[in-house]
Amino acid sequence: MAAVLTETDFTKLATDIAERFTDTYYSALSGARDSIKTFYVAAIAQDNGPTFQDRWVKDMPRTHLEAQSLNVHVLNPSIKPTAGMKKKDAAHNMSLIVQVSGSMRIGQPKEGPMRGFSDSFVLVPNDELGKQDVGRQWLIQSQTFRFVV
Amino acid sequence: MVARHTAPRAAPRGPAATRRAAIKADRDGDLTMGLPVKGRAGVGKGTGPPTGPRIDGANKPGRGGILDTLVQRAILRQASGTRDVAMREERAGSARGGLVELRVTGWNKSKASGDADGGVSSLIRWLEKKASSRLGSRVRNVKIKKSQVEGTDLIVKVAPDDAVGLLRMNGFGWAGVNVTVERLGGPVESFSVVSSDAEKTKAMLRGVLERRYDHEAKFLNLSELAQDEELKSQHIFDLKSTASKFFPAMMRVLELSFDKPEERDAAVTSVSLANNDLVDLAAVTTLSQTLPKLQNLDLSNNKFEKLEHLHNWRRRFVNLQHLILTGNPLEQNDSNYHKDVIGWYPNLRQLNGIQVRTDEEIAKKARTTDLPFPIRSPLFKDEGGIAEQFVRIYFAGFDNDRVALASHYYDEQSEFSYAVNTQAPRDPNSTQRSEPGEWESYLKSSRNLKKIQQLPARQARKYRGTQAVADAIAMLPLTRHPDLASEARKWMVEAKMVPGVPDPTGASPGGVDGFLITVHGEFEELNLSGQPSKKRSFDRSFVLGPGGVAGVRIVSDMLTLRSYGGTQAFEPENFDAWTEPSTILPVAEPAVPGLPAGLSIAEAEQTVAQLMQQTGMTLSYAKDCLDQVGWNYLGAVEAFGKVRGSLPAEAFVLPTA
Repeated sequence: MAAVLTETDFTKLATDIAERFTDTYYSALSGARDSIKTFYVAAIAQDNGPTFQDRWVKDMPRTHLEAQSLNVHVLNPSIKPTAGMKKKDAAHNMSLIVQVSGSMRIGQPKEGPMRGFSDSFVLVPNDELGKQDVGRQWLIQSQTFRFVV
Repeated sequence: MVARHTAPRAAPRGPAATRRAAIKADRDGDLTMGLPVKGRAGVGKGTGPPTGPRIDGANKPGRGGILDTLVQRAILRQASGTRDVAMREERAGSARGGLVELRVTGWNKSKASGDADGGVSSLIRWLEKKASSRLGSRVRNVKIKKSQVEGTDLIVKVAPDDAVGLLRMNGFGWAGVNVTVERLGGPVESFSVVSSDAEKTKAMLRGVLERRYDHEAKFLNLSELAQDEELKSQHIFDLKSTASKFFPAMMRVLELSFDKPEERDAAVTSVSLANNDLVDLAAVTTLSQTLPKLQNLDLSNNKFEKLEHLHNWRRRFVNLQHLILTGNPLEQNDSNYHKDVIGWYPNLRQLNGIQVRTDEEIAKKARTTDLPFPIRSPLFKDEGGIAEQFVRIYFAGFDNDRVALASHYYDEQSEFSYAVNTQAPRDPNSTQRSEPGEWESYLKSSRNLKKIQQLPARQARKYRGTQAVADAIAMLPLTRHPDLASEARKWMVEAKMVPGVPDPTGASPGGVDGFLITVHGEFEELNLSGQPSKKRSFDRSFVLGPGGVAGVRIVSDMLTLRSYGGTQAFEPENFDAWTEPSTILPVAEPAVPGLPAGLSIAEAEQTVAQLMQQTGMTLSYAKDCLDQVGWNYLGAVEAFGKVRGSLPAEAFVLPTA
């Protein structure tokens, strides 16, 4: 049976999603820290997310994260069987693995120490979107963030 | 008076004032002691007697703009009709080759008189050393050109520049006696011409600084200033007005002795203000402006009652390494002051002689600024050694045989791509700079989505399938990675299980458990002759799934390349506050007895079924196998592969006909 999505579709979707997600996510880490836990799947958001977010909100000094390099692969192209799936749904039926390399300025802009980071995370579609599609479309299921410089 | 020293003297105003050369000359002119030996001496020698207008001297070639400024000064002087001490010194070289004769007396009954020569050579050395100016951009080493003893007189001949320094030492103590130094003869110079009070004060302050400066130790000893003989004789401390202005004046004189702040900072790295009855920093606060890069400061035995009285300097002296505060009331009043002070000075290594930070701690502090997420050691949640073995084999293969590596780990669904981060921060400990074209051999296939915007390019730069990946990695320059065992510090490898990895058997469309392995490290890029040419850093994210010839296969491989970033970020920090496990992992479900945490019964059943199908084992053998490897599927497959030969026939389900 013909695949619902072509290779090109996959590339386009994956790259669009990765770009939009990382823009929003790294901005949130810098400037909208009380939304941090909303980027994670429920399992994390409910249990560990609040603590994680709390630390960012309360203890973390001013930061500015900049993604300098971004790449994405489709991890699982079809989470649920795609038989008879519409394209629109197929677009939400995959998981992605994203790799980011960037820098994080801590403290004063232009003067604070700068650290280099590497971030890898698995993005999955948000199953719990309401009818109105309120909320994030993609969530982090697993993440490994490291300072590398 | 001290107050007047701030009035500019003979300073060229207008456009000249802004010229650096002008400032130089002005500075020299205003100071009696800050005369250069080099250059100026060249100017001086052979000049006619410096009487009257200085135009003669001005005609001599000098350094840069000095010539002009000399002319200006001469003009100004003529206009103002004054002569000051400064001008005299500037006339370096009175008579052509003329030396000034000085008579030194009072030395013959010194402690050194027992020397073979009666102490003369020792006296001469002392005269030269003391008269020399070591503090300033232009160091002057006084040399006594000729000397002879006549009875109890020592007659010395020196260059006129040096004479002034020696004459200042009149009355100084040496080897237990006070020597007198008087001018005997030489070029006609009227040293007695009245100089302005400002000039005199400056000269005096200059002398104080010079006397209290230890050139080798780069130490300016400003302790016990109230007991200073010279200052006392000048009645500096008699009046409150002069007392308060004297220190800033002295700082200004110190500044003027140097051409550049860098020279000043390099020449004086330690200062003592001990024993000065200081209650607060008001009188001495200018020290922080004059010597902002000071490394060692002694404030002991003063009268600082509380730490607040030092607040003026809490944001100054950023390079401060040693601070002494003993002997101040604040020790009793503010018993916790140590903590605060250590916080004020991030580079402070010793407080009151006790080490408060090691060099390592300083290096680290400069990096991380106490984030609430201290750096942890790597999170490596392996199962049955699969991840570890993979990493070892992979990088050895990447260095030595990429073709074999490709067939070993990549199948037709495997994807590989790489991206170059050309903006990544570099190793802070190295001075390597980015070179143009250093990424040339990589950029044409770099899939950095931040840089590559077009869909076709994005598509083309991702490689899928064994052959495509093999070709892609073959194109990358050859590498040599550090040894994982002996050079573990150069690596940061983390591993964890992730669900939802595509299942090659198709049995679980939602995917099965796999590994997410992130490797951060470095390699040496080899040039065409196989020699290491450049060190690079990299980050690689592998997603591994079960299957393939090796038992594990690479589902996704993403490589980021960047300039060498060092290994300091991999060092775990002391993390007292960080005792919880990572908050980023998916939360484990409650463990079922007999099964590892996170594995529900349904999943366990499914896993067994998969294993049975893949290996042909019976339920119980499959379950046992999984038990042994902590219910990790990949581990089970690999374990099975190893023991298959020794399993009894009953381990296998009989094929139905």
